[in-house]
Amino acid sequence: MENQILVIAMVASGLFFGWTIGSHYTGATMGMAYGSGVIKSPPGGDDFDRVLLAPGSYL
Amino acid sequence: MIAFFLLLGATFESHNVVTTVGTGIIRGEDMTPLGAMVMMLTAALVTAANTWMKWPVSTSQLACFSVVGAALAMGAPVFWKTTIVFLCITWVGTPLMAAVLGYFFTHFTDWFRKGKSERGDKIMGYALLVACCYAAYTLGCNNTGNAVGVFFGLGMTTPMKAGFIGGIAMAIGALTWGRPILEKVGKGIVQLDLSMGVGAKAAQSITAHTAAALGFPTSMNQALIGGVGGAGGARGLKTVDMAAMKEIVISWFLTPVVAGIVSFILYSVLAYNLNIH
Repeated sequence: MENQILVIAMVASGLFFGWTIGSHYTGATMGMAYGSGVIKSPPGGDDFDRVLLAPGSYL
Repeated sequence: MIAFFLLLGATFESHNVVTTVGTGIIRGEDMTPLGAMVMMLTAALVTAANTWMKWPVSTSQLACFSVVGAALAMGAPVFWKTTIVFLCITWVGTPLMAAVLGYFFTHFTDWFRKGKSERGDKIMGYALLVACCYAAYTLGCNNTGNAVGVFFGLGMTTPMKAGFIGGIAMAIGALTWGRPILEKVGKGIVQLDLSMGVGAKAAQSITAHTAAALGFPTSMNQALIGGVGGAGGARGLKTVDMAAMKEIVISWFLTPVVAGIVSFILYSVLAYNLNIH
């Protein structure tokens, strides 16, 4: 039982770490397109939404 | 876009790094659920703290030193001479290789743009987006192993399945809490034109992708800083905000040490309370 709880805690910790990695490297991947102004704001949204959610609607 | 390309890289090309983190720092049979939990929880907390502080650091270094800290507390042998030494060489080599590539790529993009003012800008804009998508793919290849490598080390799943699961978690992270670092890197550290941006971005991605293909987790942030430095060198410019860089470099050295110490203490406390030896 104790071992099962530890395995569940381990999987949860791994997924938590994955979540923090994804958030941490957003700048390293898309920061330059965001900062250089290549990505323009869509109506009703901001640059951040477009970086993450709208492939094919740039420039 | 980040989520899509990141998931592709995590699923199809992260297996080499997954294997390195899972079984390359300590023996797979020495890994216990408590040890694995402590390693990842420590790395996650330290990474979250850096994101909150807006310091772009290496999660690969955090993950590796979290493994080392917990392994020392467990009394498990660490492969110092092979893995850690080679990983350190990779971490030093990453910004250097990215700088050299950034220098040459920027010269190439300058040559390409010559005499094509408006059309050249448009092409460079698309090229920068392609390079950013490639960077997201490389992130999936390179960093997924840090989060889920120990799942493979414990024999819970295959490297590809581990990569897919880790990729989903990372994609959700980018979608929900990516803004602080995006603002810092995008507007607070570097000032580049399009040619230099494409050169630096291509240099970063190729360097990190090469390391991932060889199975060595490296830092996308350190590769980016190297690429930016090389791109600036091609123009004889200082492209990096030195005040911002100073705090980032300090955090590069500080955070792996903090991760190792926290991991060691956390494992010792939990093992004592749970009576695990």
